[in-house]
Amino acid sequence: MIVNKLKLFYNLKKEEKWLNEMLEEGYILSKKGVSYKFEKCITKGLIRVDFRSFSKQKDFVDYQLMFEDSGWKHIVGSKSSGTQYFYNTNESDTEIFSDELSQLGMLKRRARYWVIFSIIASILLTQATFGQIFVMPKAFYLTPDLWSMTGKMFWLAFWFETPFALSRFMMTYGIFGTLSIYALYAYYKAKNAYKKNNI
Amino acid sequence: MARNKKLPLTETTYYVLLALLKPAHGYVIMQEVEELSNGTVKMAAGTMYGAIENLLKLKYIKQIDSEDSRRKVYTITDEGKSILKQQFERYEHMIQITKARLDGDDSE
Repeated sequence: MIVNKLKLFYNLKKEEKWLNEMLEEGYILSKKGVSYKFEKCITKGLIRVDFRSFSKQKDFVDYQLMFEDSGWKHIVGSKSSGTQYFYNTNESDTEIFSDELSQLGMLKRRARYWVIFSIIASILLTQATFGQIFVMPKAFYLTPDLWSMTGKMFWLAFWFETPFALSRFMMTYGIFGTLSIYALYAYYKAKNAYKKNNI
Repeated sequence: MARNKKLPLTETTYYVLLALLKPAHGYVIMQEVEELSNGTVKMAAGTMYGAIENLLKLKYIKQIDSEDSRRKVYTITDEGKSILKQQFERYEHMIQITKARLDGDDSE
């Protein structure tokens, strides 16, 4: 029997927790596309997630083997899917990252992927909506003659309208615009966390 | 020699370089590191893969041809050996002066 669940996780820990709860109930992840597909599984174990993509198939195979050799079976993920799901039945093996730096590295890779993905999605959306791939941010400021003002007047008017311009931007681009901004923010957060740990 | 900004090496890096004085693939390196460190440094697969990437970037290790067509085999480079030796000399000095200080203390 195959169980199909549609869920969206931004938080990796929550996703892992949910997958392991499903495993406790006897269902192991078997496919992930837009939705999560599960199969019956009686063996207990643990699922952990890595994030990595590869340009060559043999790089991907070498990667999978390193995990398999150490007891982690690769159950879901492809060369370019990014998210890689691993399963271990050995009770004493609980982590695929043994130090914080490599865990942060994974989060950084994941954040970077989302930046690229959301920027491309935004470009495609702009093209579809406006017929061109880039619209000047100026277009979201509706104060007449804003750009011909100077000095203190300009900055006052500019900063006052910025929150409105931002919300207009988000309403225009909808989900992908918000995602892009959040993705960039998350990426810089991940990058800094990695840098700080990489003494 | 000018003071190297790449020092000190982390314990994990030190052991990986030490292990790769003999060519090996990922999992074997993990086992070697655990053995060499007397079980104090245990690397998980995700961490090992990342460490290999970093060391390749720093050119302290390189990939070589292997009999196993599916697993990549790595070995230490000359630059890697050099940095390993530098870290080793640092440790030697630290051991020497620590012994001297502690022994000096004891004899009072």
